[in-house]
Amino acid sequence: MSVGFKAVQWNGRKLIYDVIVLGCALTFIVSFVLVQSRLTPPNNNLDWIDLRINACGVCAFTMLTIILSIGPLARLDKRLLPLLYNRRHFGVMMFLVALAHASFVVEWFAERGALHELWEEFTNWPLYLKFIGSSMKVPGLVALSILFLLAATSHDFWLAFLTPRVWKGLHMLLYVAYGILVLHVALGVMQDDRRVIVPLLLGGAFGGVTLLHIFAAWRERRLDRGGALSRENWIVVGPPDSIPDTCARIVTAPNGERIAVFRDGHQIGALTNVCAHQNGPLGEGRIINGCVTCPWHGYEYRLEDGCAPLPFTEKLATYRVRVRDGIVEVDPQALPPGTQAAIRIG
Amino acid sequence: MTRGHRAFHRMVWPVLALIVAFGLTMALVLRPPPDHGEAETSQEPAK
Repeated sequence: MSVGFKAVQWNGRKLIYDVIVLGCALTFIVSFVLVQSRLTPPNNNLDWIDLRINACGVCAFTMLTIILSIGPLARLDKRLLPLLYNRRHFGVMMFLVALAHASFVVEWFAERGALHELWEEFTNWPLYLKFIGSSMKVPGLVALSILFLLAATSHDFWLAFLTPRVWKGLHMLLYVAYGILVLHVALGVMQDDRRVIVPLLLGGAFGGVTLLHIFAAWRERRLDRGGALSRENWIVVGPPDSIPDTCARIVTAPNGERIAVFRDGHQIGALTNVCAHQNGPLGEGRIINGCVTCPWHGYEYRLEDGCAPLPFTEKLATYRVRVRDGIVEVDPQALPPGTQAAIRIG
Repeated sequence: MTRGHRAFHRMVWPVLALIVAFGLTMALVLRPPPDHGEAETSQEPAK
């Protein structure tokens, strides 16, 4: 958490994360070049550039596949949440590798003194009407433009400026970029390289990521069915002991929004399940040092009123809570952010 | 995620899967056959 904005907000954990990701990416690229240059020794400078194009392209695609798998994997298994912590830096690094891939393509044409051919490929309008034989660089450039937009707006400044709702919606364009990249490879490398491993890896990567997302969403569907309502239309949560101490039970209001009902010893409070930072699932976090802590980036809120501890200014909507006949119930009508609403039991 | 994001998320992956699967299949099926005669000459591959 931070009161102001910094260009890059590093801490010990983020540095370790970044060093590991950077180390893995460099190892991947160097290994790719070494192995491929042994298998098919390059004859000239053009071949070496070609090797670098392939190495960076495969690395960027692999990085994007991993990035898109982190979200559903963390929802399926909480032990993988640390991978999600600094995913934005991972994404920016992936964009830089993709940019290197595109730069080497330009270098390949420049080396042959044929930059005009590259330009002609983009401005040859009849090619746009073709499927096979069309320029695979066009989907590549479209995907790279989307990745640039997302990398450029990945900073917390843009998150606050655009609001988390709009920012999150914008960053879902990454899914579209991934689909376009699959077609970029299918219309490019796959047309020349006849080995069966190419479509297998390409389809396998995309199919795996898709299945992960669909499975994680399917597992959560039961949450959105909505809980039982009492006679006064309050949501029935259950006995206080059914809420694990310092953790939450997530219930769904009739309007579909989720509510996190936390218990901290003898105190019970209900907050919106949507973190004010990046809309993370607050109810999957826990109470640490007296504050509800988001599992994604550690944003903290007081249980009693949904306010972040000073000097932070974030506020969450709270919900009225009561205990009737030994059962905790929540009013589905949200209170204004920062309203005191937690109760003490026993 | 908000309810709207979840709804969009649930819609986008199946749609994307259908479009990409169709595109990938067509790219495989319509792939031109290898030209052995040309492959033996030392032409530069298209980039």
